[in-house]
Amino acid sequence: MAKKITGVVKLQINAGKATPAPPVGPALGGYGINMMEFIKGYNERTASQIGSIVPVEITIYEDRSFTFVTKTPPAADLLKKAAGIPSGSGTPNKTKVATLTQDQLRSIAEMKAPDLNANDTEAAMKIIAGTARSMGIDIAG
Amino acid sequence: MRWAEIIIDTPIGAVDAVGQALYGVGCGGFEVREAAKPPAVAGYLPVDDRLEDRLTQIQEALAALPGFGVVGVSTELTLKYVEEADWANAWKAFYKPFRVGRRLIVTPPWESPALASDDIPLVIDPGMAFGTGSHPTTQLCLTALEDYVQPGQSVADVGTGSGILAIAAAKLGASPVAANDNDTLAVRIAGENAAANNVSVTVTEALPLGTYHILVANILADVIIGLADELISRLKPGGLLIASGIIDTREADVQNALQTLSLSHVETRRQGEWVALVFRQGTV
Repeated sequence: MAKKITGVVKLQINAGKATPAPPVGPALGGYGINMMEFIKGYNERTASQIGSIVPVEITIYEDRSFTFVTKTPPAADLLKKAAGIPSGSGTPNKTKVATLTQDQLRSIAEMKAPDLNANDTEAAMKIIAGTARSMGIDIAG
Repeated sequence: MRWAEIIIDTPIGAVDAVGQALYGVGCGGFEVREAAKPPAVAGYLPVDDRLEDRLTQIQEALAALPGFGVVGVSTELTLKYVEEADWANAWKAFYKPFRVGRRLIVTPPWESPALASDDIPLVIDPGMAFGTGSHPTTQLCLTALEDYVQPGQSVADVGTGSGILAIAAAKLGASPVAANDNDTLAVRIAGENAAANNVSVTVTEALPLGTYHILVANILADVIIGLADELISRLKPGGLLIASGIIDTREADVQNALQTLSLSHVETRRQGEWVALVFRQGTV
């Protein structure tokens, strides 16, 4: 059915662990959609990725029905995975916790480019490198 | 319990870096307000004696970002306070039983509307599948079904979504009733809704086989035009096609596409900018 979109909500939440607590509740509450059905659907679809953040984009239609799509994990998750570390540095200025190669940076940048408003891979690499440094991850070269 | 909503102006490329600052203080996730001007990230923390320290930590992390090459993030936090609400159930207030046509009452499962003796309740759990009954195109089809369905007639609902039209047809006495949707989620939900209404509807992903007295297709102008031949092949001689989901600017396209085939136009129904066309197989 052709329906007008009344809202698009983008969230970054933990895979398989969505609840009506913030950010989900307040972000979706005003739209009057069946929140428990979203939560159930999201948790079902992301069950295999528990431990990761899985961004989700929810499209709400004028009759308050909705659809959602999940996106690639945030750059920080991909950086941690590539570096083999559980978390970033608490003091990224002083303590460096890992070093990634340009090739590793490039592959993450290519994966994330669609979400970054980046014009090309080089621009995406620059953005991802900034995120990496803010976590205490150095980029070689 | 109260929550602090922390809004940080954030260019899209910096979302993940800002997200790290929020996760670093125990934020359980955040909203990305890409369409806001300027774009922003909104995280939530409980209002308690740790809030002030956490806000300071976030600000320190944001202040360090330019040094890492992440630019354009506001270091000013905008705070709003949000009262804890029953978010799990509050949405239900948006759904009340309502009447469509003369006898059909669409109701969510948690409501028990007062019914007159010949009223027909349609219990629809509003959710992800299209067709909560509130949309004009659905209402156009429901009233058309109410007017045309005779007990014992066969009906097929193409693009059933929540199953609401197929369920209405079955409750109006149609049998057998078939429905399809190319979305597997809709197939499951339509089946569940049919069971909740104690009616027999065969729901499939593929177009239903066989021929029917009435075919209802509440989809989209282009989809209906594309499916026209297949839809007509499923009509019994003299059978009716109810085509809906058509915005008024596309009415002529659908009308022309269907009229050139072996169909005659019976009537056009309108609600707002939406149109439903009723055609009969063969000549009237």
